[in-house]
Amino acid sequence: MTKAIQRGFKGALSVWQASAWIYAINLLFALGFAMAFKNILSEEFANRDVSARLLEGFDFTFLSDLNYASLSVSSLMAMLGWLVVGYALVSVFLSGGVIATLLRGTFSAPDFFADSARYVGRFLALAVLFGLALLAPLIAFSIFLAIGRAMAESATSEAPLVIWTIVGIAIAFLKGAYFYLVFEVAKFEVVTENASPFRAFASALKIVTRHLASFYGILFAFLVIVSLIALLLHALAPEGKSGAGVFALALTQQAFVASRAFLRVASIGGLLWNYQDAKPKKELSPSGAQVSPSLEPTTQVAESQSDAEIKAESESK
Amino acid sequence: MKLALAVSFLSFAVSLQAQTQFPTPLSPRLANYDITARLDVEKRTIDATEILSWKNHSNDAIPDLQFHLYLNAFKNEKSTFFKESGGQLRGVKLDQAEGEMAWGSIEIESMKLLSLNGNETNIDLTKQIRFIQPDDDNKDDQTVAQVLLPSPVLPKGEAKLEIKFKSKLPKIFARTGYAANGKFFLVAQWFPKIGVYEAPGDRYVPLTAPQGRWNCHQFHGNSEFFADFGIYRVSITVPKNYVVGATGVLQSETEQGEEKTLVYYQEDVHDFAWTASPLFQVFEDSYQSKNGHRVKLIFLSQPQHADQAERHFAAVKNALEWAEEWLGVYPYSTLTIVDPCYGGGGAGGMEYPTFITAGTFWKLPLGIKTTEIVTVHEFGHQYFYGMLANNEFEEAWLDEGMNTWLELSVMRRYYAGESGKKSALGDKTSAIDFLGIRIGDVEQSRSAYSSPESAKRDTIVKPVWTYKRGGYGTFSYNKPGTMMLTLENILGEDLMKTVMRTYFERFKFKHPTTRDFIRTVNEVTGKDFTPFFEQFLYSTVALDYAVQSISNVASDEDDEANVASDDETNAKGDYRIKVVFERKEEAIAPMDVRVKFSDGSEFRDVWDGVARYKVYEFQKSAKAVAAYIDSENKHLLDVNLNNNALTAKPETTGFWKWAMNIMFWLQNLFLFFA
Repeated sequence: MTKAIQRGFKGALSVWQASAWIYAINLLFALGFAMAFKNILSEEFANRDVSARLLEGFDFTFLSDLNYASLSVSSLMAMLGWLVVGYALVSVFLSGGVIATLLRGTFSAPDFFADSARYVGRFLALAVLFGLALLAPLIAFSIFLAIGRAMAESATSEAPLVIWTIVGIAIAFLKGAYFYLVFEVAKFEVVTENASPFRAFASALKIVTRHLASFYGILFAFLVIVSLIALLLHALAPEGKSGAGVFALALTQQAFVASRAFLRVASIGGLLWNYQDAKPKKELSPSGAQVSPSLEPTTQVAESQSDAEIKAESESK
Repeated sequence: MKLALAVSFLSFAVSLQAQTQFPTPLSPRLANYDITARLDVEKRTIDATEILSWKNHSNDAIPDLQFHLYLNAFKNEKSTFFKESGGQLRGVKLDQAEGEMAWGSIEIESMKLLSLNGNETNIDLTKQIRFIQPDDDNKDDQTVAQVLLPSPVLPKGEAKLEIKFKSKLPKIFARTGYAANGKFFLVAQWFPKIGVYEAPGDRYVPLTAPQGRWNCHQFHGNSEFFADFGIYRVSITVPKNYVVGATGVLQSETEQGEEKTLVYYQEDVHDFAWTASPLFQVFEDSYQSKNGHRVKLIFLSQPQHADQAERHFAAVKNALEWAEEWLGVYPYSTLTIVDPCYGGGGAGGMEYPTFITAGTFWKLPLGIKTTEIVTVHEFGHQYFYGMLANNEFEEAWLDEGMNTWLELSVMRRYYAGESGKKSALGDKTSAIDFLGIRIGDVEQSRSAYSSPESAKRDTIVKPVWTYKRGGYGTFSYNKPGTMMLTLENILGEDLMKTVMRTYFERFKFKHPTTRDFIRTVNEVTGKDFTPFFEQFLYSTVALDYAVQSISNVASDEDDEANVASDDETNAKGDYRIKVVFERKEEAIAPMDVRVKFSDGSEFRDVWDGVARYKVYEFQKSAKAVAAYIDSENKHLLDVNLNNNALTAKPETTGFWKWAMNIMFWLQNLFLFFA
């Protein structure tokens, strides 16, 4: 597991441009919304002497009296909804490029986007399967909560129900994490095995289940690293009570987001190498793709194949 | 039974003589109760006998008596309460899944007239009882009973009755009932309670009226209560392992087999509530007022909240200190704070004389101050409702609104740090200060009123059951609370204190009205505030003043300078300046206006606020850089404070900060996907 994490970091470093692209696209999406938000506030309130109040921090009275402003909060919310959906699709799109690039060990923008495009159809299908799979922990959590509530009917304290709920959330989170790992490994299956979404998902279920500890270990190791960086940057972040302060705050925030983008690629790398170690060697089918010698991959990327070709190839097998 | 009654009478008389709490009665003591009650924890019922001594303070001969039977509101779905509330109160629903046990009721088993106008009688009045519906035509409502007497209660006469009744407690609903399978009881609105007879000259009965009238409303979806002051002696029998808390002072506690009987006594109150539960952990503390009067504080805590006892005591002590300074001394010797059990939340946040229910949550973080807010608020009712016993059915703002002001004031003073002491809106932490979210109690209370939907929805002074749906909270709590803060800001702290102390001193242990309060304000301030109250209490108008525009026109230019122009001087050093203030809504109030100029000078004025617009024109060598209306936010009733300032130069740094924050959160959300 530790080796896989190390290799994940190495891989992410060697293709740091992938992280940069993820960060840039992330920034582009979020910046669009942030600017719209800022412009709406500016149009309505730039001359209303409220900027100073907002510099001090959260201002409930400003928010409550926004009711009377002509700005449309609902249009902003609609925009936000579309942005989230749009970014979710883009993220599915980019993940093919990230995996293939990690396997290749070198970054090339045309290849990155070509790979992204190559797998997007099947990755979207996997995303749907992942979404459906997530219903299981959600339903289980609802049942768990209902049981807790029924048991609490005769309780005299809310504490057991609170603990029960926290445990339920933790279990749901672990189950969700399990399906997330399956989703990730299924993507590896698609890239390395040209597998169909269903076959990849089924295969990933087996692999993750068999090697649950190492997959969970990698995931939580990265969660811990992200949390530590968050704590560090939170301690360093300025309050942002002046123009310079706001600039410094924004820089700190972006440092965190950039580090998260890098860690995201590193975590995919870690999971990928763990997947390679976990997968029975006989199942691997190298087919001449170019890979980085330093990463010693045991799988290859099918290059320049259309989805139709891959499907035909898969069916012929 | 007669012997038992005689003993009961004797002991009552003895206790009255031996245990007088107030040598000089604080109130008229018109309705005096001696109740002997036994709680059946299995059946959730109370069997009780009530001896009621009721005095006719009027000059009328009164032929009947009227009683509240509040628990019948929970008898079935046909009651007025149930129809109006839809079977829920403050989000807590009557748990009909419990079947018959969920419902509550009160049945008068017998009623005897023991004496009338000083003459002993023994007349059975049971068959004279009939249900009446003074507020609506709902013949199924049984929350008010009328009893015709064989002969009238003469002016200044007295009627003494013995009433045997059985109360069936609902599963906790609308502040009363049982929870935790009978391990928690909050017993309130539980006994036949005589209405208030209003003589000519009382409250709104014209002095010239030929006759007074009973004021005995049905129990409504939102209504609370109204009763005369008196002496309560209540004997409560419960299982031995149950801890009891109640209105008043515990006089005695005796055990008989598996049961115990506790006797509580209190003078000069107008209601009696109690609680019983084997779960309670009892904490005690005390408060000593500046005049040396000591109050024993009892906190009946759920075991899981025991670590929050100090939070409750601190809240009450802060409120006691504040009330002593702003109103007057709390005269009673006890105050019991009840922490309802899990599942008994419907009993939380309620007030009875010397007895309040609060409500908290396991491990509630210190930064979430709901426990303090509810405790302070319910304590405040010892003044606004308890001693200033207005009619809660008809003028709920006098207790809830004024008490919201008390709550906001206490929270601001004790839970907001230095910023809260400077101004109401300076308080950003007294409600929530947790995980970067900071909200002041004034802010959150004001926000309920200041939304466009609610600002003009209803009036404040009206019978509570006639509020538009959802309007009770806004128009009996939030808007009047904000109005009182506005009044305080206009009058200043010292004058407001004098007004409130005068109001309290003049009307404590009476039934004050809105009119009484307005008269007090006018008299103490020497100004006529009637138009202020007319607008905000009796009409639906909203208040919103704004700075509409600033223009700086250089004298040597034909065109108006843009308000956002960077040009601070002109060649000839002279500007024609026009600043326009606007009244955007219907309400009118005098407003402080202020204009700042680029040379540092300021212009200040008070605009009477009557016209729709007020234009100020200046000829100066310096440009106007900013204009403010009500810059100190005195008028918290102003529904939109964001338009109270206008600056010539735009300033957007704060917007950048929040745009960056929102971008950051959004980026992190996105990174969950990839």
